[in-house]
Amino acid sequence: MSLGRVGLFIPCYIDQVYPRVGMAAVRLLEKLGVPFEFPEDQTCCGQPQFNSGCFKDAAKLAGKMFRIFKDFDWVVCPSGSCTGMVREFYELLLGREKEKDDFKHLVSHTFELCEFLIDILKVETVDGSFPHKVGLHQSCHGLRGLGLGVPSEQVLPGQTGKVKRLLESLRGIEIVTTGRSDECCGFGGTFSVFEGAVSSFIGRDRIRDYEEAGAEVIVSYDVSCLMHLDGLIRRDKKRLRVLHVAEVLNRAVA
Amino acid sequence: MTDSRRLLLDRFKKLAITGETSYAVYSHLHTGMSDPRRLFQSVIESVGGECRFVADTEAARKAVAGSEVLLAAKQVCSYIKEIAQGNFDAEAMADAHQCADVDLTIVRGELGVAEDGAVWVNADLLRHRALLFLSENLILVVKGQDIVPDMESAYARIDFTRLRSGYFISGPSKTADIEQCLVIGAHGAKSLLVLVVG
Amino acid sequence: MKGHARLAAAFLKQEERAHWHDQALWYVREKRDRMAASIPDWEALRETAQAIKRHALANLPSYLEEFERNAVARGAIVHYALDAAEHNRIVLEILKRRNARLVAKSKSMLSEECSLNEFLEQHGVEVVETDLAERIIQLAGERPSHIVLPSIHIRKEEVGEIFHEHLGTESGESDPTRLTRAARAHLREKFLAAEAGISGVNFAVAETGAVVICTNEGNADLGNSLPDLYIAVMGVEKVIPKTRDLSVFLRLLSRSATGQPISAYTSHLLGPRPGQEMHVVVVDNGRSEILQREKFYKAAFCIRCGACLNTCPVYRRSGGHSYNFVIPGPIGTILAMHRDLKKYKDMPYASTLCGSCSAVCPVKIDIHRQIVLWRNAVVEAGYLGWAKSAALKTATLGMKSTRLFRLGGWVVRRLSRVLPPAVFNNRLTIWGKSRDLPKMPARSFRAEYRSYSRSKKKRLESRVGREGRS
Repeated sequence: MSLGRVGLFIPCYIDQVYPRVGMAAVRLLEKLGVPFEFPEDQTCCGQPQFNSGCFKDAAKLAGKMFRIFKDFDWVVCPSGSCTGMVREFYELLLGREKEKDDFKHLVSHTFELCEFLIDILKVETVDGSFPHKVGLHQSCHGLRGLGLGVPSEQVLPGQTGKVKRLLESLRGIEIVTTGRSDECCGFGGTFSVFEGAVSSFIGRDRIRDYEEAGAEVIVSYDVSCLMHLDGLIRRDKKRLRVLHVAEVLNRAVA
Repeated sequence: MTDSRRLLLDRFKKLAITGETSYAVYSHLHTGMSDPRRLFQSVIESVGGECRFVADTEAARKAVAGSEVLLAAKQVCSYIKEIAQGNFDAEAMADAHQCADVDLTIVRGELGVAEDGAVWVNADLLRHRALLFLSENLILVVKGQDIVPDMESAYARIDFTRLRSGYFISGPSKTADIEQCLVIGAHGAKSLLVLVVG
Repeated sequence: MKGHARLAAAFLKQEERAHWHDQALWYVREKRDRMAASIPDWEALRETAQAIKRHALANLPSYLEEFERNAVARGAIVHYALDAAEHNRIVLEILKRRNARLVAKSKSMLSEECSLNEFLEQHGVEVVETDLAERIIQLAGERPSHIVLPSIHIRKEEVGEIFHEHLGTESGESDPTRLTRAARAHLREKFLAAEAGISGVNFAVAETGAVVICTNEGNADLGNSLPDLYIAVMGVEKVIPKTRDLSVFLRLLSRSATGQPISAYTSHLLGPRPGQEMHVVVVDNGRSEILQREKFYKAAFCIRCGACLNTCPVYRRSGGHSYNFVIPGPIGTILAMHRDLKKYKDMPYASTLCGSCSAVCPVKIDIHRQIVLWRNAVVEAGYLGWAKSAALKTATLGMKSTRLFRLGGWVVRRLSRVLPPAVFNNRLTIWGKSRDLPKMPARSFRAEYRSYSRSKKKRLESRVGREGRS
């Protein structure tokens, strides 16, 4: 299957703080035989500015991202929230572009890593092993915005979560059942700083839920949530680890 | 006052709601409702009420005669003489306040709704509609053939052209306002028995 | 006025209480989930509800006139109030004309919005809240902290103390049943003595002129049946076109609000009972402005179920009193912003934008998206605050230019590897107050990838070279 040009979109905080997640995505795509390019000019999708309400500033960064990625056939991103930024909110920022074909193409062809595997590469199962008890953290933007899972609020009979199904195909994995299946981790971007008390309180509740469910490692498609949870885990000296889903899949596959 | 009316109505003439604003009539799916009567009963019970099926009026009379609420009641007001005589004539009272000590009221329900265990009571049958809420206990009698599956079917059968007041009553009165602990019997009836006849 | 962040931090200092509050509301959310799951076409139902609201509000003047015509034909007297002050004046005038000095009042968020009780009390009218939770907070001298469960923040021991002081129950009594019975007896006296009843309205049906009220306690019905004077107060947005539309809303309302299939009593009043005077006060108080704001009018669809409060991870862990508006939580935020952008500018920032509110809203208001749009409105109006603005502008600068971005990252990584962790993991960095900062890597991804690509290329070249030679 000829995919055309695939652009790898690496979120700013993965680039600067969690390169291992980016490298896991790289290795995984290589193992799956996906030829991709990493446009070095990219910086940030503008989400922090957008979330704070600074649409004008966010638009500057969105414009830059649009220029860098518009000529790719597909854009893949190991982050639910950054993908959501492009798919759900770029039309609010790039009003002048939104009727243009290349803009519409970018918005409809930007995929989070797991959904790219499932929906585009048609990879429903991953031949690999990950014999651990996993707490699957279904980060909010990806869950409710992109449909990476089935939100607990909704009544969608017969549907199961994409990312969950993909992970469950790994040998030996056990995805634990938590008391609250998809409550927010409390990160919320700048919320974590400006409402630090609430943010940490929510995060600690999540961690306790995963602990009580017996998880060894918390896995998510958004490393921003993991960064927040990990910060709490390490401060409280808990025994949980955090891994991005790209890292899990990469480790599992030989 | 008329100025405010005109001004208010004018304010709502320029709105930002655009696009298609018509809507299709909604048809509720009755998935899984194979037995409306059983569903009706189970919902009533889940909300703290009691529901009993009786074959006919005579059986209903016996059920009421032997019921705890009747046996313990001092003032009983019955609007269904074939089922119970009662000893308190609310219709003869000039003021609803005089009905404040009624222990049990027995009233006809026009229909029952399976999806939510609600009974429709046409309160125009009562001189004092307050009685439905003052009465310590309530017995509502519905005909089996008048159990409908959902609210759409119920509303289709209710005539509002001359109605002054009507109530869907589902279960006894209740509150969970104190630490989410459910307490049956807030300001209205402390118990509700629904008799389905036939 | 303290902002949400500070009030929430104070709320969380009592950890055990905060957990209890969070659990109590989560429990209500779970009940809602079970109810929703029992209706396979729940999502289609939500779409329909929104469509009905959209239609009703787009044609509001004609539906209001139709409602009025039909209500008046049944003997009700209909008044129109442009704002809170006029609403209060009209209600007082009605009461004064009939010399009514004791009012049995049922829950009405509109009346809270207009501060009706204080106004009436100032003018010599005694208002007794008859909804149990409202009575509890009235006796305690507090504001409601939730629109459906006003006293959710009060523990049963505290209710016991309040009732001991005001109702004469035994000191130390905390059993909910016994306390409720005491309230029943106390309020029954008030119902019987009341000279007027006031209640809110859940739905006003244009087709028939019916006023529909949903309660579990039966208090609204005692209040609108016993006294010879009854006043129903409603915001304009309560009007719905037809009787059959009630089915859709009733199916959604109690399931969303408290996880019940329907409230114990759904009262349909078409005019006064014999010997009674019934008034309906129809209020704007800013709703017309809501409907004129293109990006923000959906807030008017709200049916006041409170589901968004129950599901909000922030509301559950900060409580209704951490928000400065009469209605707290997600819906409160987007309503507050319509009322006063400057006064309530902290509210849209009290959100992680998780979107759970939008997912539970029975009328599909995209609350979290509205919240982000309101943040933009706050920024455009210049209310963001210099600290946040400066931080974000700096970030934008550092990201617009790829070179600056790489340089900035390099500096932070260098610093973090040179300075001890304690420099970062403390209160001053704000993040570091309760969490550890992530361990900064030696190299950025782009640097890693570059070197990875180079060595891969070299390996490939040397292999080709070997193959070429062999």
